[in-house]
Amino acid sequence: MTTPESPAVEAVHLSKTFLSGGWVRKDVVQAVDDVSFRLKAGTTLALVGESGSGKTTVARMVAGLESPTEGEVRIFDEPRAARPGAKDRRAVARKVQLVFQNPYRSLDPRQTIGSAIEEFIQVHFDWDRAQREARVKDLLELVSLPHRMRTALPSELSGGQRQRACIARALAPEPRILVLDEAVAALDVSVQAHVLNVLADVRDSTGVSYLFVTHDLAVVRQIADDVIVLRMGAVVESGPAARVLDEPQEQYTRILRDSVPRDGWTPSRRA
Amino acid sequence: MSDALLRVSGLRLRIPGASEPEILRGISLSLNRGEALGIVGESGSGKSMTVRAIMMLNPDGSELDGGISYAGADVRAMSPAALREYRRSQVGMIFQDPHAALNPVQRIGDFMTEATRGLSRAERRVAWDNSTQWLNDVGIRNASDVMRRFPHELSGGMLQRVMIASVASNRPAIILADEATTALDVTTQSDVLALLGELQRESGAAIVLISHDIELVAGVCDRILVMYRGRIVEELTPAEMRAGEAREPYTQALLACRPSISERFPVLPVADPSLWEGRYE
Amino acid sequence: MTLPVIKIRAASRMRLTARFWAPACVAGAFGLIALFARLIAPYNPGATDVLQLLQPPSPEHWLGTDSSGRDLLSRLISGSQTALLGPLIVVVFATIVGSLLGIVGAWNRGWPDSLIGRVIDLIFSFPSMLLALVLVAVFSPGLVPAAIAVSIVFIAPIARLVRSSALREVNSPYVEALRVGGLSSWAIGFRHLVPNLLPVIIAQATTSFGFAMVELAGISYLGLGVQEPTPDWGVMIEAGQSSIVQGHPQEALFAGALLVVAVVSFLLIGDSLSSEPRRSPE
Repeated sequence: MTTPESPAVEAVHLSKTFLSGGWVRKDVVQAVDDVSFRLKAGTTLALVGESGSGKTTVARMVAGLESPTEGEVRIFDEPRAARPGAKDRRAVARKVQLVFQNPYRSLDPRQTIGSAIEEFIQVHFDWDRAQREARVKDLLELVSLPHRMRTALPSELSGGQRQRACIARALAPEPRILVLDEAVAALDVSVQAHVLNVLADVRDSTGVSYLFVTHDLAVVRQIADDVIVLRMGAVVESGPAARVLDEPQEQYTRILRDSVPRDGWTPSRRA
Repeated sequence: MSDALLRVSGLRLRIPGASEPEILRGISLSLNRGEALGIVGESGSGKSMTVRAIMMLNPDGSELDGGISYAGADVRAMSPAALREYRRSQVGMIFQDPHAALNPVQRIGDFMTEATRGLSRAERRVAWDNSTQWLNDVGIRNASDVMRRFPHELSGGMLQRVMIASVASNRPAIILADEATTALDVTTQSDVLALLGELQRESGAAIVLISHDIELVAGVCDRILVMYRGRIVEELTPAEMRAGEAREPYTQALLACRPSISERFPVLPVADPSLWEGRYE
Repeated sequence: MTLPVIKIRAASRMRLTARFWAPACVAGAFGLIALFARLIAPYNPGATDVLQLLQPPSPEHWLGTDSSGRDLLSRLISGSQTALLGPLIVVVFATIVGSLLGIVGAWNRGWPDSLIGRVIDLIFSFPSMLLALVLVAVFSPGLVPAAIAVSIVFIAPIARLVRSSALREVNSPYVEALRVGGLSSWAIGFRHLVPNLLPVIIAQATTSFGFAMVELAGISYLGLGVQEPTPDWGVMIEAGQSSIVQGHPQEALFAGALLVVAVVSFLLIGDSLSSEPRRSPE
């Protein structure tokens, strides 16, 4: 049963293997290897890692786009169904939503922003048109997009505006958890700053929990309460974001931190 | 500074019919031998178009105006043969996406020794061995094996090393790197940039590093040019940048809105374009 | 569930150029002629006149008469009806079935996709004309059986093209976002996939129209499609063949020329549609 202490997301010994290759020889790729973590309700947990670390695969398993080979994802203490039917999918969608990295490709190019948000509302709430439109207005306001943009097509918006539209749409089913897969990585720094601020505001006003997948440690510092460092599918280090970034316990975390360009940084060859 | 290796003056680039036709609106810069110049800017600032114009790789239907001179020669007036030679042996370019820059059905070795096609067997043998040596020099351990591989069999970092080896083997006087490490992991990025720095010191080549990451540019370059909407708004040194001595409001805003790895801001200072609106027209 | 109030606008108004409009006008003219054939045709296309056999063009019979003394112009005008109706049946049937198969295959990777893929391969591995002939022989000769036979052959390329385009859409983040949003497969398929695939489907359907016209004329020429005395260009080419050696090439010549013009105009429309710039990938 859901209790105030129950974690929004709990990953229990998650593993995922992919088969690659042709008919003759199949290679088994271990994308995620025994990953466990808890995302406390109302907080932000960052999954950090380089390419091949499995961070995106973990996010996709939490969002239900992949099913784990082993282990399970629990959403507010309820296990996520391995092969959900249409009804389960809707029920889970009320709890978990996903924002993708590429705002240019994650909206239907032929659908206006308002219609995209309204469609998500319609799937989950039996409201009349006026109620839906009022909600679209609120959501656009929440991500600080002007109301007139509801009639715009994705191609008429800038990258940052599109990403905020995606966030508004993801918030339409009133999810308790938002999975953000490199959601600010493709944005210019000035736009990224705005989106990060919007995300912080949304968290404060709705109490939503974020599972924040990123490769950018500065972004982790800005948005995350806790962090998990992944490497080659396995957890290297985890803990409060400030502690892990200031006093990393593991060699790999230190290398990762010291590779980030900042004051006093010079590029160095690895041994 | 009459001894500048490369001089760009009043460069303008228009694409008639595009929604934003003015791509470059008067770019002037000079590059000295052996120097590392950084160009930073956000998307749409024209930083990529500037280096592509230096290579005379302009979009179809675009109109170029202004001067580009390399070692005293007018690049825009070069014959096709001279331009080929200029691109091959004087100025090398490394792109953001090495996968897109390589022919997917060509082996790395064939790509590296492309220029020796049609030469004798013995000469090609020598070229092959040289290329293998170059791959070794950029830190690829199993170089002779990599020579026989196809691009899709290698990681992004490995391919970017191959690109660097290929450019460096022509011993160019200038290396243009356009977001060359953006697609790489931070640890690989550091590694590849260090390699580029070593090559630069050994060969005395000048380097132009294009990036959206001002911290990265500051860690590698001697001078930084900040671009905004087709213009260079400010030139500053890494020391000036660190000391908070940026003079232009756009540069100040760009520096202020970055999240920091060592500190959390209550709210990130979002750039307010009204501070520089009209200033850079 | 309430009625969907989803407004979907065209992403980018396709800018249609003369490359589209020129052949489209020709095709449109054929359509009008077919629609009003009865009104336009100066004579009854079936009326024979034994006194006017194989007449050269004259003020009474602008294009002359055939070996039964029927007015060629009237027969050509009436022949445009079967010439357009046949491909229309083919295109409507093949496009609907082919698109459905393509989308279902792309959506359900696994056994449904494999099964559809095998069926498509099977159809492809048969020479199309041969398959059509076998099917017509099994049923009876006539326009509708011939059109159905040709449709089956035309399902394969449409299904294959739609599948590959749909696959790209299905794997794109916007479709994944819709799935995470809790939308049903039907809603995603009909409200999002189909509108986005429509440009591809329409271009392929138009091209298929042209090819179907050739195939059907061929079948009629072989005597397995439209039957005498119904006027049809394929039938007329066949009927006019024997008159050519007698020095009266009009019938076969005019019917053949019309067929070529009609087919080429449809192929050009399809070509212009498939090469129009679509939404930029960015």
